[in-house]
Amino acid sequence: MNVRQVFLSEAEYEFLKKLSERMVGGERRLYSVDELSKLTGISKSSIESLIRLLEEKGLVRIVRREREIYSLTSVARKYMEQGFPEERLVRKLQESGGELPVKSVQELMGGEAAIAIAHALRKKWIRLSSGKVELVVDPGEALAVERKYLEAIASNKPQALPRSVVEELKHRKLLSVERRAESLVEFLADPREIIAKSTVEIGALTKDLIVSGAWKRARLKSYDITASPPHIRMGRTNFFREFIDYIRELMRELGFIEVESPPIELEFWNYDVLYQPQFHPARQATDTFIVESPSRGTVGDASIIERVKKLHEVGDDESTGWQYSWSLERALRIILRSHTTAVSARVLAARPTPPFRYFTIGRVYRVEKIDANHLPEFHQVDGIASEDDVDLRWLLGFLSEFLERLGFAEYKFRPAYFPFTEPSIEGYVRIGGRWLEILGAGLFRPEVLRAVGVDYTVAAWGMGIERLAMALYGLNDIRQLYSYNASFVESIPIGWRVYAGAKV
Amino acid sequence: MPVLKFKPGRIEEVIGASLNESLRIIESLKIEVELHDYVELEVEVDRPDMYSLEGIARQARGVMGLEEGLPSYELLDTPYEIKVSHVATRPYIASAIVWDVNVDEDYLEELIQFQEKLHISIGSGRSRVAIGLHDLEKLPSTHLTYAFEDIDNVVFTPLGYEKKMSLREVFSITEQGRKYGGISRSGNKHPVLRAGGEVISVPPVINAELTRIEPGTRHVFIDVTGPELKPVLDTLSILVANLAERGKGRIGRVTVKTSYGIMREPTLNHTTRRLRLSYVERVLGIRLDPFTAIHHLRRMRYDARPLDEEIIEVLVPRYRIDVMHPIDLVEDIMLSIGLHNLKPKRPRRLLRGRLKPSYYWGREARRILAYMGFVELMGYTLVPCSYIEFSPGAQKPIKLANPVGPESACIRSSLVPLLLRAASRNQHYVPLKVFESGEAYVRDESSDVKVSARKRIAMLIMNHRVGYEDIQAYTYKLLAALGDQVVEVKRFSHRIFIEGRAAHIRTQNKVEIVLGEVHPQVLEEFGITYPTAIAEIDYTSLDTLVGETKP
Repeated sequence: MNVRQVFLSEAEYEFLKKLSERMVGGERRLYSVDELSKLTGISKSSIESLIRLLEEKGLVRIVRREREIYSLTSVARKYMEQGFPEERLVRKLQESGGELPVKSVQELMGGEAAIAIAHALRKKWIRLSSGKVELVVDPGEALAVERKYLEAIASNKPQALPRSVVEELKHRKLLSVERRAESLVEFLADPREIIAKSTVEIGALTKDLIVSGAWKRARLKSYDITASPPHIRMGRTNFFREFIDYIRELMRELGFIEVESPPIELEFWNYDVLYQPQFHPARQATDTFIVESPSRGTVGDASIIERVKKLHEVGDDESTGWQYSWSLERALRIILRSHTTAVSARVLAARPTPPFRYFTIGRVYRVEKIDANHLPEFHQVDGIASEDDVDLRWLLGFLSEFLERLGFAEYKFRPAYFPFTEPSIEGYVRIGGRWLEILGAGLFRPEVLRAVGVDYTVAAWGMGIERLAMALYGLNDIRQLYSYNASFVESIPIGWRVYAGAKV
Repeated sequence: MPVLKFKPGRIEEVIGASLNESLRIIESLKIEVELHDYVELEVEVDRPDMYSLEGIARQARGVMGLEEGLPSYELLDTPYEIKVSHVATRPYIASAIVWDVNVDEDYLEELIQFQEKLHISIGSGRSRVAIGLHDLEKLPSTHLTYAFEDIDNVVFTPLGYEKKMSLREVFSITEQGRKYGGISRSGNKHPVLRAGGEVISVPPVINAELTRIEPGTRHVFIDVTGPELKPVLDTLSILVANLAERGKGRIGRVTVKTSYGIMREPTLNHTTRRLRLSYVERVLGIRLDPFTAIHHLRRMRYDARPLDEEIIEVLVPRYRIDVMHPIDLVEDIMLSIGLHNLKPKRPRRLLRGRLKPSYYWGREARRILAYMGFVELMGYTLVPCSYIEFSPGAQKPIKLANPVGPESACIRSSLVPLLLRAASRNQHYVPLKVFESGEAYVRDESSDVKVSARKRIAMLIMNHRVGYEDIQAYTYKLLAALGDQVVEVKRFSHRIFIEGRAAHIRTQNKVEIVLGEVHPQVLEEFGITYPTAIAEIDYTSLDTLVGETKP
């Protein structure tokens, strides 16, 4: 084959160079992978991939063939040590003066007598005449030709035995044959010639190549640009945390001021001020987390305690109250807040002057077993507002604005019940063809306003964040929001469309 | 919220309209409807008078214009009387008869459902109120006693059982006994209701088989008991009014004789309230004339008349125990008008929103950490109580009395143990660089809740070779990027850190930082097999530093 310009990778070039330095003679062009590995010192697996690449370039042909592996039988090894039967027969005849009766041969050689006579006859070393065996060859020349072949096999030298010999040896049970498949590499051109006409292709461009100018003599290889890239890692902020901050920024945009209070709370602010009676089922230990240590807190303002007690026990000029015996001891119990409305209660107790809009965002706690839909802790956002024309219609208008800014095209409100607001409503949004209840709202009950000591209308609303985040992020297990699997957290695509205000 | 189940045919029968029309009206009464092969109605907890189909129908037929104003029931005196001796744990009992209820199989199921929902809600799981329903004609006598008796001297066949047993056995053998036996028992004493000497009920546990209500029962005898009088009378009123809706409206009073006086209940006296139309306008944002307001109130089953152009006098039926304030009447006017008929009014006022200064510090810190290759994790605040040992700067845990499990029995006092947990869960993801931001809670006697919230960011690095100087480098870089600088570095000792490889740092902005190389003993306890270093930054000071004012 006439070699034209070829492009070799660095590895291919290296391989051919080593091979041409170490190959003996120039004629042989057929090698096994084994031989190539031994010659070049490159591992067999690397050789296999290299010859496939060279085959693609039309420089070699890979021939798959079966090879016979020969090995000596125990009979053969015995003959090699003790001499072939026909050789021993010749020696016996020589010792006996050139001839022996067949009977004596049988006595001397036992079971091997027949074999010895047959092969000696075939090789024309003896003659049989009237019951006698006569030597007819010079004993010095009576050497079994099989020995030569067996020695070659035993010394593991590559040999091309004539088919007839193999058959003969097999027939005499001197040879066992095993078949093995192997790849042979046929060089279609002399490796030295290939190297002479080659240009080396470079994969990675290195500083050395640039500085030395070697890149000028090399060709920069084309890559398989469709192959998958290697895995890389990155730092990033948490997707769920980003979602919570998105809600926070949205509240700021709507003119709300952020307030905070620890989720470790008094029953007083979480329930009593909000006119939720102490016998209410949600206040039991089956629903609310009670803090054992520390267990009792304080309320600094005695007048608010007095007002709350009166409202629960006997009401006032307008309200009948709940009419039961209210316990301060119970109200001072420390719990984990069950809703962020507790923060709103604290804010109102500071009697802010309208117009105002306040919000808080944080964790709330309910006694729930952990599963795909429930956690004992989750996030809520809670807002309160009071301004000149706050009423139910204002609240409906505000919630519509809020939900539209969140991107919801379809939403609806239904009347509902909460102990601390009247009227109360629930907000639903349509996500993925399903109506999802996402918020509760209302106007604070007059009893709540009396308890904190304000005389204006206050609108309030609260929304759970987890369910919304799950729906918008397409997650089906709430625990995924709190995943500690760094690679999972890293892999979640950020919900930028939501943040861009895309319609949901 | 109580979820009630009814057969669709029963709904059509009792409401008196097609199923679709009935459900449409029911939904407008803040009841959630789900339609399966039966109908599921989720009634709000403020309306126990709608825990039975007759109660819902009474309200729905008002909105449909079929029946308006106060429903009327006929109250009659009866010879039935209960002598009450001092029952320490459950002193109050009230009783009544409703004639012509005519129980059949469907209604029996509904009646039991009604009773159970009242038990759970208004009854606080039977502790506040317990209801006994009896077949009047099976009562052995018109003379009843309600007394605190010795549980070994009370022998009867409990409802659903075949053999007589002592009350002590009822507590251990029957399911109700095991569940409710402890509520009103005091030592060996328990409340017992007898008629003519025979036990008919042991409130709040179980009735006797003797007075079982079954298909064919015509008249119903009701007893309601509890530790407070108001809920007992409220419950009795709701029961008789709803059962009378099914009967012919005839209700019998039962005399209760106590040491402090004689009571004849139920009275079903309505209450009178005044409603100002300006108040309605202030709440709903619409102005109603007196006659429109009265029209809506009558549809909601009140009686009402105008006192003048501004004030309406409203009669509230006894069973509407949720009406505590005129606001509750306004809500009913809203229900009658329909929420969807109120036009939303968008806020027009321009107010300036504001977030916490520390939020901005935290947000930038989180971004810088992400730029430096850290992944932000977000975990739980409820943690095992043992985490206090790995929380630098905190001594006593904040512990729950009723945790859902030991893994979430305390609230976190530091983010450090959470990041160690994160490291142990990411042993395959090396090198690991993670951080978490959020609040940690520490004891604080000066606070009204004895706890104060600290704003923290903690970061962790884990690799084949990682040490103090690595976490120190990230920390200093972060501070520099936030325009802050270290003013004090002190040695810090804590069991989570290798001695001599941990520091406490204070910055110009009064940010406090604890950082160091995690002790191999701690790594072993968390199942971490790589060297790990941690820093926890407390930036609570930032809010006051920027001069944040409380509302």
